[in-house]
Amino acid sequence: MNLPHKARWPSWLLVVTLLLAGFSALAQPLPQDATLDATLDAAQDATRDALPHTDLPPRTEDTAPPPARLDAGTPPRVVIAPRDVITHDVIAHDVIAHDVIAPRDVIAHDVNAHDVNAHDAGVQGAHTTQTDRPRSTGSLARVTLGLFAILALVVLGAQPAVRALERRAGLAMLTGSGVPFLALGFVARHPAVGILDDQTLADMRPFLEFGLAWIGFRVGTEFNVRHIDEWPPGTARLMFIESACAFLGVAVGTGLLLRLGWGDPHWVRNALILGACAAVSAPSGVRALAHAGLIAPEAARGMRRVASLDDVMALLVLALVTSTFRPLTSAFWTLPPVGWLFLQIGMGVVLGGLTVAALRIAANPNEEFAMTLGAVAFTAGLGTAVGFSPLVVACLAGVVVENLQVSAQTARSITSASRRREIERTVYLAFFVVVGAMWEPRVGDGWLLLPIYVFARIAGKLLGVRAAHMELVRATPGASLAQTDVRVTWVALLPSSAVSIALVVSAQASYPTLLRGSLQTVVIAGALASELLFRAGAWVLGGRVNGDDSDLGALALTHETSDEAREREVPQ
Amino acid sequence: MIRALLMLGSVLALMAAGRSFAPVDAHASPGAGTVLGFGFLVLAALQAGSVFAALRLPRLTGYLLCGVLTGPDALGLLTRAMVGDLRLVNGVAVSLIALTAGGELDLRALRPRLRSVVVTSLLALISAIVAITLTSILFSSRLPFMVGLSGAQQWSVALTLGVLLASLSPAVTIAIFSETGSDGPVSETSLGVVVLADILIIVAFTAVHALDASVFHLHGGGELSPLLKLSIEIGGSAVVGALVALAILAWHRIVREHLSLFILAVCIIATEVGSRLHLDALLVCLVAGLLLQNVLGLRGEVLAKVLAPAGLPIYAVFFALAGANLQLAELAVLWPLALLFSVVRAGALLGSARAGAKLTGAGEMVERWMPLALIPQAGVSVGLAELLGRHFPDWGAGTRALVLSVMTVNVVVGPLLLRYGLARAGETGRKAAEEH
Repeated sequence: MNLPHKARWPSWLLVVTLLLAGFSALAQPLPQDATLDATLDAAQDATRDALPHTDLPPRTEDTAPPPARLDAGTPPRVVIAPRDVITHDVIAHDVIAHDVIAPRDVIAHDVNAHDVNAHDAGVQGAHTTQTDRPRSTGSLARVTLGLFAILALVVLGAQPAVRALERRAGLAMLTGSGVPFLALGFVARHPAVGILDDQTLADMRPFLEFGLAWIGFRVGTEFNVRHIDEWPPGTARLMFIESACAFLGVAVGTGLLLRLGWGDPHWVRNALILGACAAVSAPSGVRALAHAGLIAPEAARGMRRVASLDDVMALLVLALVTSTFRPLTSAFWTLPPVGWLFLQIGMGVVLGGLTVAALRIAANPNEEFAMTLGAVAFTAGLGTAVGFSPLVVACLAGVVVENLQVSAQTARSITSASRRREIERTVYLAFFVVVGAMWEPRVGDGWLLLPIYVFARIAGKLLGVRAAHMELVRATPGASLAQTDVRVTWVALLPSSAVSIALVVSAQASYPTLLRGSLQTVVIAGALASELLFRAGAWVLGGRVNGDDSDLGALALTHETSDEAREREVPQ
Repeated sequence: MIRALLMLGSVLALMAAGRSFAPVDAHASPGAGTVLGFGFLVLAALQAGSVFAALRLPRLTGYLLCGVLTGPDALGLLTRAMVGDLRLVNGVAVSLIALTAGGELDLRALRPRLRSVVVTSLLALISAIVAITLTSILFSSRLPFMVGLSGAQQWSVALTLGVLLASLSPAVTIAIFSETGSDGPVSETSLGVVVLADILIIVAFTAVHALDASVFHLHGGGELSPLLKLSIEIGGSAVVGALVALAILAWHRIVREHLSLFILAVCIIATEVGSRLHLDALLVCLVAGLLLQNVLGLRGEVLAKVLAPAGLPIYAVFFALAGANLQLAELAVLWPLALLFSVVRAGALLGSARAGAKLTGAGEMVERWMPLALIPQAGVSVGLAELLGRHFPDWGAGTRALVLSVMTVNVVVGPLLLRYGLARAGETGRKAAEEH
């Protein structure tokens, strides 16, 4: 990278701030679209006629002026209505049969019509898309410049050289992670800024699905059965026991609160999702403590493997959840939960096989790239269309791809990290922007759940590490993992992995009514809290976490492959 | 080829299975249909392209037929909603194609052929417009949308039809050049003619649209005047194109890495915003490419190389979507007229282009094989026809149906003829040989 010497790359954060401030000055309300309103009114009336037994609320204009936006603490409206029913104050994709609706972002007349399909209700001509809504030139210019700025920053932020400069400037912890992009998405969504409004966000949904699938695919490609024998002794035991304890601790703790405190009808599902999010650890903690000299190289290798593999465990829990609690009620297929689970696994395996086959017949690197892109998108789309998490299906496909490298050529094409890295970081950054835009931290429930989540997680991890240590001392007393201090192992495994955020975002996409998005608050804020606790723990243990190791684990932008992990092996 | 066929079959079977799960467009999450459609088209179209390449046919025809077969009017694996949601890919592909094309147009090298390009473009377009207009008047009793119109109105509609049907397809032409690695006088002249003709068609359409508005007493309701619209479309696109070129150059000089991602981002924005600001994304990117190559010193080869990995899946989806968008149901009804107009169009374009090349002394090879580059038709005519359908629902819808039917014929036949012509001119594979 050829940069002038005087360039200050971390100053791009300042540039963003200035840009956003400029956009907020330009902010103006979008024009009301009378045509869309008329269409929606007609659809609402027709739906009311077509569904006489539906408990639809009266038309908003017949009763009271619609609320501008729900603020924290405002009791949400509760609507029980079948999917695809349009009402004036319900985001249509939040409407699922027999589900209690509490739309997270109720904006008068601003129906998210992306998946409004009134055909089921016998309404003709009511299908409309948000892209039909006109914008004023001012708002269009604002959105354009805003999107351009975000996209440019996403691409710019993906530069390895930028990262290096950030480290040198001592900003690696913040800027080297997804935090700025999460914040960027959140700020860009703010009504005063208005860059990422509902329409733009709805247009970006495909990128979110693709991003989830990409993350899942990458997690899957880290699990190679041929390498199991190379794991340090006790790795599997440690991974299973510590992640299971954290999972159980959080699932039970939050489950009790959800059931007894709030009477949440979906408390089992929600507690399982939170438990899965809590189970995963980031390798960054292990790396940092290893560099600080607190973990022996062999033990560090095992712990890093633990931190990578517990992602797969968490995704398996999500697979169970989406198989048991079916998000789609309008499906033609009827299967028992175990049938859905087998179908999900089968789909992942078949799509993985298809990916390998596609890569094997690719004629050149460009075709390989196109095939990989197409296979991941196809996996994401097919999985989501059947009501599974793209994260899980793509992870299973990734496992198959990694383990079916039957020829050197395929292996090269699949593991050509350079080509993957080219888009990897960009995908992650764009993903965080969308996640930030979707985040609703103003919903208070998440903050109430947070202390339970964080406490149950660290307690579960501690209990798990202790139990695993006892088992390791009994079974493999000479192993390096058994000889590592319990407190060090515990602290090293405290940071949360990026998969936890991907997991809750995926669950939120599958179950739009998931506690009005408050689970996202729990997991994102929980990840930041875990990071702070890790730093405090490392300080108590006497380790110094330096800039190079200070990625915020849950928001770290790369997930180490086994090759990369070997490259970064701690020096003897 | 067998492996590609097996792969294609597997992808189709999986898609059919997935689509059998729930009612049309009932997805667990908005956006899933778009991702599914994109992934499916990338995998299926690339395999179809491989099958066609093995049969020594253009890959592009494979992409198109893949879209036709899996589209809403045939197997229905792609729904209309999916096709609609993938509009962004269409726009990005057009932008990428235009950027690459602009980057390939070396005006210094083209200068000796400039006279030939200008004369041939003008002659071909005028001949085609006149021939199609006269044919429309001649067969006006057989064209349902012209029955009952006054004489002036009939001439106005006929002229509009002439302009729409005379349009060419730089996208298809460039894609075939890229696929066959063609280079030489025929390729260079063809590219110049097709690009120039595309710009002229936009100008001509604006003029006939103003005529239609006057003849049919269309009240604009505060809309911009045609001249202003044209100025914005061409002038605004040129200005924005210059800005895009500067941005790309700055990124290339300062950041250097990940230029393809940056260009993709620029193309997405040019597409999304251009359409809403009355700008033509094709013109914007064409100007950007031209400036980069001829003024700012960023060689077209650099652009083409950088965009190759991202371009392949986008082009495959773009042409497959073009196939999926073809109105087979309308073609089934209108095929005699579609065939008639296709023949008239082809005759006029081939004859006049040949005459133009002969008049300007472009050379025997150019004279014989360059006209075949004018047969493919896609892209701009679809957009203009849809605009017409919206503005003049009485007869615009019928015109749109006829234009799409004629385009269906030309988009399938055109690439085959062009590839044949390039092979006969001996220009295929020259680019690869030069790079070697």
